[in-house]
Amino acid sequence: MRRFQARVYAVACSYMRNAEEARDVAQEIFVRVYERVESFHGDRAFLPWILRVSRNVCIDALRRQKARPRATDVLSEETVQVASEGPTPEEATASGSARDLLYRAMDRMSDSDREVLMLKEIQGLKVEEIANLLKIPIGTVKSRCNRARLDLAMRVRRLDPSYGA
Amino acid sequence: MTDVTCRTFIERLDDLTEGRLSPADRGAAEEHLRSCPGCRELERVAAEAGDPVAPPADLLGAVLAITSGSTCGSARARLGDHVDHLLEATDDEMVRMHLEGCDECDRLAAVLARLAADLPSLAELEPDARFVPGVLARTSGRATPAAVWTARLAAGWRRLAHRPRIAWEGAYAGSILMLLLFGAPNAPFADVPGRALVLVRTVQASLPAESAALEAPRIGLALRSRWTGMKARIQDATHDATTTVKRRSSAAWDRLKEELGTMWDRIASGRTRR
Repeated sequence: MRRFQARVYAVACSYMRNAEEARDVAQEIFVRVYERVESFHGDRAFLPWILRVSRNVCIDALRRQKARPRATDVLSEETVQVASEGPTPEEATASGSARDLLYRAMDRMSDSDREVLMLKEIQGLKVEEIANLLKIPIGTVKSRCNRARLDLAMRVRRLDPSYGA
Repeated sequence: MTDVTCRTFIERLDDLTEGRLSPADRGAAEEHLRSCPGCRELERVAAEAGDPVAPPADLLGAVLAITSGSTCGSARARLGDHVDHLLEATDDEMVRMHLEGCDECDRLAAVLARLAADLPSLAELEPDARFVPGVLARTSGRATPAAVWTARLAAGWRRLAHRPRIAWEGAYAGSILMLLLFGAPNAPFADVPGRALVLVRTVQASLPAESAALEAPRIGLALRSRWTGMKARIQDATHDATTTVKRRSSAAWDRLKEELGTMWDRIASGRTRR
């Protein structure tokens, strides 16, 4: 668990966009892994398997969240605005300014672009593994990933023109 | 250069028409022209063609824009693969040429290259110290999957048993099951009742009459002694239960009277004060 906890927590943060919820969901992911570890076949790589479990748990949590909005979601508009302008979990824990910049840029991307970017460029999954995980064609993964990278690059440039110079 | 062949003349024709030959070479070339009608005709055509027209500076970009859309769009579509060195040589060269002439795309390529180096560092994010204890707390008390399923079945059965008409439903389901197993003409155990009846009659008929007469009083005695013991246990249990209920109800009644008395006293004292 200690070997994968940081990775799983990063994935949960990417999906949930809230530190507390990400921690709860990451814990739930490990509970699910504990329950279903027998379904993991040893001849396959563990990382894609645990990322699949993580994605499923995060999607379940997001669905529950949609069905039963949190108390903060029904507070006044001002409260919500203040909350949304605050740092995201990654921003809160990011140490370097480059990381902070990347998190801010990714926070404004679409969910599908951010997901494929997270799986390929950040977690380092192969295109075939992502296609299998997301159940989409390999060509779609490639084009979506190229588009997401370019989108992120343009957002980063807008936020910090000196990045990469 | 004194001896000029046709081949040498053709090689130096451009230099001759543009005046770049030395006087000696020029004299030799003119001497060859006088003796060779074919090269004379070639020199005439070259002189008439005059200076070549220089293409406009943006000709390449204009042609690409017409044939393949925006050059920046095409280049950016390949920019990621260019940064990752996944393009074929020709495509890679074209993208590189575009980047040399387009500052915006060149900066984007630089950002992409930096992103390729920076993004993997986001793969891990350490949770706070409460994380591991939380997971351990949630998993340590957990039973094995088999035990979880057993518990779920037991809970389901308890819910079922609390249904108000569970007795009727159980009797109904049992009757149907018995009918399906034994009563229907094609039931798997349809012949069992008949065979059991035959078996009982056969055993009864095979018993000797005197042994049956001896066994009957012994069976009756055993039944009576068991009934006596059971009756005594039932009486004891009933007595104990009655005593317990009386004791508890008496204590509860005393407490109730005491609380009612206290309440009445408070109400009465309130009335007196007013």
